[in-house]
Amino acid sequence: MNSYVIETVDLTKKYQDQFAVKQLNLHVPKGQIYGLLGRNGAGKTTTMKLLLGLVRPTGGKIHLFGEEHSRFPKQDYNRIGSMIEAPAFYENLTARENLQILARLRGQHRKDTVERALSVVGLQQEEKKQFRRFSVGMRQRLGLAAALMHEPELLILDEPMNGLDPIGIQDIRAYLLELCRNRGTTILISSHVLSEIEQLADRIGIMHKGSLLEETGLQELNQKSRRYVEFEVSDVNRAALLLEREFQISDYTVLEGRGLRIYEKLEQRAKVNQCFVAAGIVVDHISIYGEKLEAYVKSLIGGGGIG
Amino acid sequence: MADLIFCEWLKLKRSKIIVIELLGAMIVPLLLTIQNIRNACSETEPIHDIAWLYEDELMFVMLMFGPLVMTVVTVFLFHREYTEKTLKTLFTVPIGRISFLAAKYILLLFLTMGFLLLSWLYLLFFSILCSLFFEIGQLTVMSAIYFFLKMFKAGALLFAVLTPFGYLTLKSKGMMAPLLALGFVILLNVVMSGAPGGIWDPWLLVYWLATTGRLPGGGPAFAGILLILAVCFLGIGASMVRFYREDLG
Repeated sequence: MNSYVIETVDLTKKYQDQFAVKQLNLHVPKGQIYGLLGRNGAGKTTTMKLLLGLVRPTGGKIHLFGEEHSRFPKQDYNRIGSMIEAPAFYENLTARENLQILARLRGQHRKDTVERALSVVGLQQEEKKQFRRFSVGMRQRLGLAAALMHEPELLILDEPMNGLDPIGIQDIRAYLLELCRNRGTTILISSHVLSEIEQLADRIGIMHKGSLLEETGLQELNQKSRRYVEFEVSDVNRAALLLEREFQISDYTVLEGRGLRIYEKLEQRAKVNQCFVAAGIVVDHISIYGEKLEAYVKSLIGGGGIG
Repeated sequence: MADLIFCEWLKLKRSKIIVIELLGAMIVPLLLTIQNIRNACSETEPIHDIAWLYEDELMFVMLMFGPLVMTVVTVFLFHREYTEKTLKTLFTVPIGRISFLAAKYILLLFLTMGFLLLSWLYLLFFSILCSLFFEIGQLTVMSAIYFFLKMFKAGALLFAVLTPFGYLTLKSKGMMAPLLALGFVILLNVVMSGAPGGIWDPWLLVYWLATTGRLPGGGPAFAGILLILAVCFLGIGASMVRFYREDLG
């Protein structure tokens, strides 16, 4: 038994001659948020459908909670909440009725289950409105309510922030972080908004044309795509001393000549500059360098925007 | 299974298909009643008794209007999961594909029985209303019960020959194929009615078995029942195999 909640071994899905997912080896650790990135058609949604048993794999294996998924699929589903693509519910039913159907099918007969789920996503006022009259954002919230209703150990969310307003995004992000940090829920999330993944994920997987190009921790990625501020100063030794003494910055390198590269506390660069000047050090040049996640992902998969 | 069937029923709340079934079941009794009122108003035409009315109702419902309305209901039950894309929501809840289809077919059985029994009730109600103005022969509790039982049997038989339309809906993931097949079946019923080959038309046999309990030409019922059961289980079996293998969502 390992600590991965999701582990796939050479997972493959082929439609005629085309691979939707090709020999995917995904590792989602327990209690972490795993961001799945990739352009349209990269295979993110198919991967999630494979994990949920909606689509049957052509080859490979899926291990969920340390067991091969095909052995105990029903037990696994009770521990998983999911939202794939646009949330789909019965148009003629209200939010409450739609959730009641899911709760009943799951064997959840407690009356407050549905109310609690609706209040978590802020839909308690709209419980009597039919699903057909829901806005995109409300549909998304109801999809999340359905995914969260049975307090799953694993959440699989495909573009969950789509259609939400900025406040809604903030609320859901905070809720997902709270779920992960306080309750230990493992979350696999895909998004085309890279900044969302940056703010949420502990690990990311980058998919392209059905294959997993890279799977790494966000910290490691930050190391790889490190941002830094470069100063050109008249006295490198004194500047380095000030960095350590005044700002407790230890992650820096002294370059040949008069260069000083700082890797941490980048937001304090203006104060650092003030401090140097006040100490009589001449600052000839300041620049900020380095890739953001978006640039890094683009460099991996090539081409324009992802999503 | 009880939860699945209950949920299938709940899905129909506020659904127009219930209105279609309620109104659809009224059409044949209403037309027969209008004809009887017209007869009552004319000097020459006889007023039909309740047995005549129910026999006519069975013919129109079993051969034409019943298959029409209930195929539309069948298509709706199966097709809506694709149009509303709800399969991906349902199947991540731990429910089995086979149980899911079984629940749908059980609900279809209830709805078909409901359709026939409503037709019975409407005709009885209209006839009682008419009897306030002119006499309708054999309008007794016993005859009402006798035809109730006949309609009950007819409902079960009609359900049995609807299952291939369920399969066609799943196979085509659309409405065209089952509705075209329905058109073919109704024409087949017209062509085969009274023809020697009629004993091989299961959609015609259900009418004969419901009304006479025998095959056309007086043959034994069990051969017809076997054919109808074969069609029923073929429809359900093919649906389940198809659905079990399918990628959802």
